[in-house]
Amino acid sequence: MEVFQDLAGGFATAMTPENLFFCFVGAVVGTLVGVLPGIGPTAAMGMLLPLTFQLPPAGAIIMLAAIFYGSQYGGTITTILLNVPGEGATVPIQEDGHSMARAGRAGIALSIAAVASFIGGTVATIGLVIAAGPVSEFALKFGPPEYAAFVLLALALVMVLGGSSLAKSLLMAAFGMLLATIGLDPVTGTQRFTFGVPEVFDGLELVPLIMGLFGISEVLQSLEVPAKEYVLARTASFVPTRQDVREATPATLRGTALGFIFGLFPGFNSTLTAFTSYIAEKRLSPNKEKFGHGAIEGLAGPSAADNAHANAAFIPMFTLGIPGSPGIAVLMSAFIINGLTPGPLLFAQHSEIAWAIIASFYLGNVMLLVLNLPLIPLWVRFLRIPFGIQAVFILLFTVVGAYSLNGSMFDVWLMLAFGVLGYGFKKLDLPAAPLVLAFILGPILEATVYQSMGMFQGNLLRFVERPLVAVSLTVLGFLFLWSIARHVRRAASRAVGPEPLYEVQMGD
Amino acid sequence: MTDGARDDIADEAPGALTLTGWPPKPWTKVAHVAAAGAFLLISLSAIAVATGYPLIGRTGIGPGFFPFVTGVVLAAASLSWLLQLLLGIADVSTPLYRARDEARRIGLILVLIVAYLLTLPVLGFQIATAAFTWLFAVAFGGQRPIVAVAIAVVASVGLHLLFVVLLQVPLPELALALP
Repeated sequence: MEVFQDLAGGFATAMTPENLFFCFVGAVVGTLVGVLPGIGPTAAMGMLLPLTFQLPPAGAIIMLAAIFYGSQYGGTITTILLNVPGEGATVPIQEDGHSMARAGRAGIALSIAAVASFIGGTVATIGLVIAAGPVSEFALKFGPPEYAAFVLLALALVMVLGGSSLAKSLLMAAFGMLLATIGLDPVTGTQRFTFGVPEVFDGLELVPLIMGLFGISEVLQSLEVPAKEYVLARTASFVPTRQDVREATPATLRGTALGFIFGLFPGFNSTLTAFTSYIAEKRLSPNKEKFGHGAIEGLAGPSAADNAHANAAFIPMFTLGIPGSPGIAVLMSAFIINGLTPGPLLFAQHSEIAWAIIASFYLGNVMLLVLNLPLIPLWVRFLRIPFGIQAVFILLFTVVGAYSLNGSMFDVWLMLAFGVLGYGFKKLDLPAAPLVLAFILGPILEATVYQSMGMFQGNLLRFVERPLVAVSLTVLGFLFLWSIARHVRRAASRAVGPEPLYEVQMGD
Repeated sequence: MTDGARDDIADEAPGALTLTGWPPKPWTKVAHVAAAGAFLLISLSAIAVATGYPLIGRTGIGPGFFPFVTGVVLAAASLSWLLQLLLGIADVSTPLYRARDEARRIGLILVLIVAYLLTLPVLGFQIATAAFTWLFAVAFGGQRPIVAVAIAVVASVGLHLLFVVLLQVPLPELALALP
């Protein structure tokens, strides 16, 4: 089995002391990011990205990836102990997790969430190992027209699933794509929308955009109200009863399967996945009345789904070079900065690094499981720091991160501008994820459309002669029709009755 | 996600929305309309600029094609949002802020951040950061001035040591000549 030989080689690289250290740092920072409410994994990865320029490629990516999946673990700690969701994806476990904590079962709730997260993450990584080779080989047969169609489909999925309004999602995606056209045209070298500003001749940088939209805006929103004192639940035993294990096991397996499937598709973000798992568990449970009052299934299912999603979301990026969420997009830019191009050629050209990164996911998940429970008092201590102080340090880190890109204040101002814009987007319920993904995927779309037009000698209609393109465009059409019908139905029901107070939003 | 599922989430979501808030509802709607209008203006400007680049090239599309098409999609989406707002279809029931103080607080924070960024290249990282951290800790962190001094020193010196000395990341230096 070639795949296991490759994976064994990956473990050999990932287990060097240097890479283990980077994985450990990523796991610790990721947990901290999950614990602290003012910053998410996308902004944290964006902040640290410029600081990884001097690291070896494998080490830099191993660390950033560990931040991404490590944050999923950290989010559960504050949710259960303090009733404060560290991440959007941990909101569904808030009531059940904290109810268990209030009933003196905080330790058990944390153990169940951590083990479910570990199982979800590990099983999804096994899926990644199995899928990576065959999908990459299959993807090698794709040409520019297929890539253009897949990029459009990915963007459509993000738009349709990413917010409460299709018009707003489309607007944000188009705005992101417009921002991506700033700079030199990749084919003819024409300057577009540069207006003589030399700093944008090479286009806008992704890092200030990410740090602004997901870092500064989040901090501003958290600073709206003065910080409150947290009331900490006590942890006693961490060992669940047999009954707890019996209830948690099927929910964990269901959550893992659901999270893995959702992770494969752009647009299904971790928050949506965790909520869907929670609702599925509630519907399947014979004891629905327990939900909201300490149901083990309501804790295990979403925890497993969240981590399975985080690890499965790497599959489209590794095999196709298409990121499904802003967090994965930041990681993809780390690959590119380090001279690695995610996609089918990654395993052919940089097999050793690719497998080392995948192997590090196993190691990272084990580290997170081992680290999390004993270090809970340390994580909670961070939360004792008033948010006003946390915020000032987050702001300083973002300023240093943006400045260190090019040693220029331009990137810092750009970051602040996107921070203010991102804050405004939050206020107006405009989803930021379609903007970021369109910003990343826009140049890929433009290049592949240009190459396709060259292949087809300028004849647009020849796109649909390719079966995969035709299928993708048909699915895309159905998606938009379904979405429009859904919005019309909702608008009609809003006219006759009260509307839902809460929408699942595309987060990072 | 089905509407039923959304309703479930609505039932179970923590923190229902408040019906009061700031600014009053008509002004909230004005903010949404202004944003949609701004996007429409951006899209029309983009279309106008894009038509200045060649739309058609050797292989069928030129450098202006993508910005033009993107501008058109942006215009269509902005117009759709604007119409939904004007026809009362779009939801603007959520107030922008729970209270006026929140908006004032964010305004002050932004002023402080802008002042920090303006002084950063002049005063250098250490002095500007110490001043910014002290002000922020006192005004928004609820710290006593003397405690804030310690926090400011830790932030300024600690970050300088971490980034400049340890990670060798260059940071803005004092631009003023000392006597």
